[in-house]
Amino acid sequence: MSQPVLRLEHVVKDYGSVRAVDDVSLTVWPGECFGFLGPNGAGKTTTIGMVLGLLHPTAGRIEVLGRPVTPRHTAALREVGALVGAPAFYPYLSGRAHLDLLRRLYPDLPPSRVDEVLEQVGLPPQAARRPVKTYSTGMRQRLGLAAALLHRPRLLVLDEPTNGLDPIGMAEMRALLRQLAEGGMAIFLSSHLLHEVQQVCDRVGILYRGRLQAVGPVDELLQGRRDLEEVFFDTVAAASSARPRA
Amino acid sequence: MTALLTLTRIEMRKLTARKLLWVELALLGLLVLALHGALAAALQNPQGADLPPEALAELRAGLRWPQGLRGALTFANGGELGGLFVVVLVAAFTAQEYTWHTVGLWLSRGVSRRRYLAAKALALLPALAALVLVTLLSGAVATGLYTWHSVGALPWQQVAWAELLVDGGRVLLTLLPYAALTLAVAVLTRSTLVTVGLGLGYTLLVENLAVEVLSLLSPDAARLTRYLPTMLAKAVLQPLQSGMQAQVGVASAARDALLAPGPAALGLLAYTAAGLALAWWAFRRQDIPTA
Ligand SMILES: Nc1ncnc2c1ncn2[C@@H]1O[C@H](COP(=O)(O)OP(=O)(O)OP(=O)(O)O)[C@@H](O)[C@H]1O
Ligand SMILES: [Mg+2]
Repeated sequence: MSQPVLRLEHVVKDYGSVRAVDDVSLTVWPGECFGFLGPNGAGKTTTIGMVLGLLHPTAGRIEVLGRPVTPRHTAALREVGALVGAPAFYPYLSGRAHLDLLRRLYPDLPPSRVDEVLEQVGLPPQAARRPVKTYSTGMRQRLGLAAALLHRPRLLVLDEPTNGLDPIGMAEMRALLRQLAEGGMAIFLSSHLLHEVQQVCDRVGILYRGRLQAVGPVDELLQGRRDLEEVFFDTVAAASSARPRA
Repeated sequence: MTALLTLTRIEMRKLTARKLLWVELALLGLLVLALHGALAAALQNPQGADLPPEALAELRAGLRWPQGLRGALTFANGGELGGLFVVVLVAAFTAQEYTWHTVGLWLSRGVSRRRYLAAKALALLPALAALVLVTLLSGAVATGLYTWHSVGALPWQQVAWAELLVDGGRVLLTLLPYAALTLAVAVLTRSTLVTVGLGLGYTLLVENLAVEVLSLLSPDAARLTRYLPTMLAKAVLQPLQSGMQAQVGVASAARDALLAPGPAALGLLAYTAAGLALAWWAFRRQDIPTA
């Protein structure tokens, strides 16, 4: 098989005495959408922060395309695009100005690439010329996705990307993610919208209190159960009875 | 190397696209004009202060070309107006990246932390130089008008332009420690408000208070004050001021203890290096929250 795009091996993150991520290992392959699920506070965003080289892992190893990623080793992140939570921007710059600035990091990208991604995420040109401080939540989200896709990354990391998108936007996002995965991009998607994840992702992992409780292809995990929601509830219930909350 | 250059240009674009930089430049220019206007008015009509005629003449000469050009530059001094502007600019430019969560926008794309911080520091240099340049230009206009008014002509030939350039460099040097230390505070506190508060509090209050208090304590304590950035800046800028100007506003014990310009310049560079080192030390160890 080809090289994994993302590999986590026994990754741990402590905040003081709190263990936010506890011995997580997983692999994401090219062209695959991996759904990263878990209740609030399970450690999803923390895991993603480590994948993006923003947080220092307490232990374990993270590789992107076979190269290590830590806050000190970030070269492999050039192949990664990310949209995490409410995306961050400079309020006084326009959406287009952001993309133009980011584009300078990739000398091979032609200026026309900016228009391409703007169209791809459905941000109209007039809107793209306005300062970001005038954007609605959904427009910010779209701009964040445009920034994540700008350099044609081989791994797309998404943390609740449909936050604030209207139903049409969500459907568009779903179609876009399927299309990107079919084009060979690997997608690491954290979301609470289990229905969406079930439609888009090939495999999922369920995190509970920092530990990966279940991981596998969606149809395998279903095993006669109605939907991913049922799998989620069963997994969390089993894990919480095994390790009751302190 | 090209990566650092690209990043520096990105940082410069981020800085020049902000209103803050231009507001600061305009404000500094206007302040320099206004202060010169006030000084000129006071010297025209020196009621109250019973200065001997020689001193008055010297002060007036200090407002005229060529002396006045050099004197005007000292307004951009890190220990005075310049320091305040630098604190606000660097705090907004650096700490706000934390409050806006935009640090991660760059780091999560594989921009190394070392390059990110270096590019920020490099991008600030032209902005600091612009603060000095605006002071010089505004001061040139103000003192030029005063000269024209009192002498009826501008003595272009008497102005040592090359020397003026060196003077500008000296003033820029006095801004560096304030910029570097503010950068460090911004990275450490990750808060624009706290950084501006600490920076202004130190520049406006603590530093001057320390000079006053230490000067009163004992001659030995007074000698210590010469190692404060504000006094190092004064020492480096000594040649720019007429004898009278230099005496205004500093406790005499502290003034007598000033270092020679050369060692003082090294001292300013040492503070700058310390600020940058502290910023880097904190930045590389930091966890950057994603939201
Ligand atoms: N900076 C921090 N300092 C201390 N604890 C933190 C910090 N960030 C996160 N945590 C803790 O780590 C745990 C995991 O948080 P994380 O944000 O990764 O959860 P999540 O799975 O993304 O949750 P959500 O679904 O609500 O986004 C939580 O217990 C949280 O309180
Ligand atoms: Mg989260």
